[in-house]
Amino acid sequence: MLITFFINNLDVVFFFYGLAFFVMGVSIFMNLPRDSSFKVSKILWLLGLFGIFHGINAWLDIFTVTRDYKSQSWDLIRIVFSSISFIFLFEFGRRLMKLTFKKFPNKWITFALIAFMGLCMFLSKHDVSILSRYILGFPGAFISALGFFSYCKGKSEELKELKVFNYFLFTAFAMAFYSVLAGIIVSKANFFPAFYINDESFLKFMLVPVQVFRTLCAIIITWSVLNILKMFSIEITVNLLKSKKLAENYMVELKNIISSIRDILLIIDLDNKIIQVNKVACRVLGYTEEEFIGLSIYNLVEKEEIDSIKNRELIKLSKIRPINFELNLIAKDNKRVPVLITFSLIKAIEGKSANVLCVAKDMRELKNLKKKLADSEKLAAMGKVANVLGHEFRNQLAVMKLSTYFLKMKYGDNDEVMYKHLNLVDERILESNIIIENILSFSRTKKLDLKIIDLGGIIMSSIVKVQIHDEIDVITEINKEPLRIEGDEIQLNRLFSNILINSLHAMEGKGQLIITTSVVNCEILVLIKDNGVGIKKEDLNHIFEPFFTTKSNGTGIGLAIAQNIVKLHRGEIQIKSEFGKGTEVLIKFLRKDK
Amino acid sequence: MKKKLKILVVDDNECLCKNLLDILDFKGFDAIEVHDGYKAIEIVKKNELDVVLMDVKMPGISGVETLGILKKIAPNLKVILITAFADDEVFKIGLEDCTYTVIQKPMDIDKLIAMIEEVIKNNNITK
Repeated sequence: MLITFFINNLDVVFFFYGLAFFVMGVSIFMNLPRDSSFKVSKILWLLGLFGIFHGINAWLDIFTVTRDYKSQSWDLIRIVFSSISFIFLFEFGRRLMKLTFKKFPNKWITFALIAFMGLCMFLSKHDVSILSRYILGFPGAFISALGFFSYCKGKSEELKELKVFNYFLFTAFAMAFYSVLAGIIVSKANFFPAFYINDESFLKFMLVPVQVFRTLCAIIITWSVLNILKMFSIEITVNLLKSKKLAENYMVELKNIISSIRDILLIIDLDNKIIQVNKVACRVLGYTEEEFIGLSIYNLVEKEEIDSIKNRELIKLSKIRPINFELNLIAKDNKRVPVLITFSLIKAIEGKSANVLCVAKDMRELKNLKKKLADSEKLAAMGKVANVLGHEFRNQLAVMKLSTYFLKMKYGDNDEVMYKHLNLVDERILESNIIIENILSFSRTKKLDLKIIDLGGIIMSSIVKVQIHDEIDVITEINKEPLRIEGDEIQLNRLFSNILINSLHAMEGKGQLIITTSVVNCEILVLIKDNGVGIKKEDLNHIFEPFFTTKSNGTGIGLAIAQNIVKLHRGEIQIKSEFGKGTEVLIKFLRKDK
Repeated sequence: MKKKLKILVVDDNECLCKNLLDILDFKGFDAIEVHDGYKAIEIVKKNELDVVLMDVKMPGISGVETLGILKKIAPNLKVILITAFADDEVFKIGLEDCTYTVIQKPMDIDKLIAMIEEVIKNNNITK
């Protein structure tokens, strides 16, 4: 009953058998995966070709089996199709096995089998289609099955992640069955083993034609392969997401790198227009990011220096190797910023033209550092000299002072003019000693010897120490209550001596010196005001710099020391001056109550 | 008869010594000079002195070293060290240790005289 039903409808069975494989073949080619990390994707085309050829072969068989359509050329066409399909299957299986087992035979085994089959066909009178099934079909399907098994064993983790592990397993099982059904159960022939194991004996035993089982296998294989193909599109999606995330990360990282660069960074196009800047550029040069965009790099460079850039053919040069030179950039407020600028080419990438990267190092700080270094070298050298000279000069000054003292003591009472002159010598001795003191203290770093002291007393003793000339009118308004601060008496004395001497010099022997103190909240303010020559506006910024002096015989360290001493006391010093009118020095200290 | 205060001036700078001696003479002290530490020690050994004015930096034996020896010979001797360096360690130690006083070159002579006269008060000696 069942047998007759299948026998009568064998054409339908063949149709579906062919259809299954044909669909598999076409699907593989339509979804041929590119750029997959799974190597199996590179050989699936062989399975696809097997599907197409074998599918067509099955459809050709419809005519032969059901319509009894037979002729020598027709048979030849069928055999060619079937043989070619099995060659592809065998090659697929071989390559699949080679993915897992590196030592599996190479392509020569395929050629050898083809040659062997050809030889057998030529020599034997048997049905050649049976030979192709035995020699290529069975081993091809069988090693494919083994290949699928070993592949899904080796890649189980990845395949499970993509949820295709089971389909690989199904394919492997179906392929294994198919290898027997298509490679061993052949048409009956009068030689071993086809004589015993053939489709007729199978039919007798199973009551269902072998073609039905082959069709079932074909459907399972096709269904599994179709599902396996999905894996590649999932993989692409996953990879896309991964690479998108990666690209985003790179962008963030790139932005972080750019923002962590502490130099001015400008990206200009080949027409010298700025297209991107970093925050440092905005901060140093004073333009906003919007103002920068579209601005020509030449707007930021001095006119005289533009030529030097142009002459160097910046862009051309930067293509070969980065170039750098020193120049002044012009900030928005017309300030000149000395920089060391480096131009280097950013190579063109797909869809973007080449640009030039300009990194400009702000040299102001470096120049300051260099100056500081030079100053500290000066200081070290000065310290050595000062130590020796200080000692020697003080001995000489001591002798002079003793002499003036003796002369004043012995003859001064009778001779007013001599007394005055001896006083002048004394003043010079005192100033010379302060110069020595300054040089000595400036060339050594000293810790403060902190004590609670009365600032008023120190100011008064400093006034006494500098021996102010009679023609200078000194007005002191010093608080009567003690002005307690925590400080170093010697250093503070030095501080006020320096300020007072500067004032005395500025007044050139005549004038008014006002020294006042006041208490404002927790601060003590000391104001020293003179009506001397004052300080020129352009010099006012430099007065605290060591070795800056406008006097012909000054050392230029008096105010530097003064500032340093105030800083060490955590105070503040401000100097206001108008050239020709006078100078005001305001010093603030923190008050100490107890 | 009032006893004159005996002062020894120790300094390698001879000119300074002469100068100082003139002033001290004028002020009515009995002052003598030597130019190094060894001689100072000899003098102190042989004579009874009231005050020693001594330079810190001298060739051979320094003022500070000499001071150490002098203090052993005559513990009650008043020593005033004269230094060209305000920041010298002796300066600070001197401020805390009252066995000697330090004064800085170029010295304030009135201050120096005051220091010497302090000794008179303490020792009850007259010029």
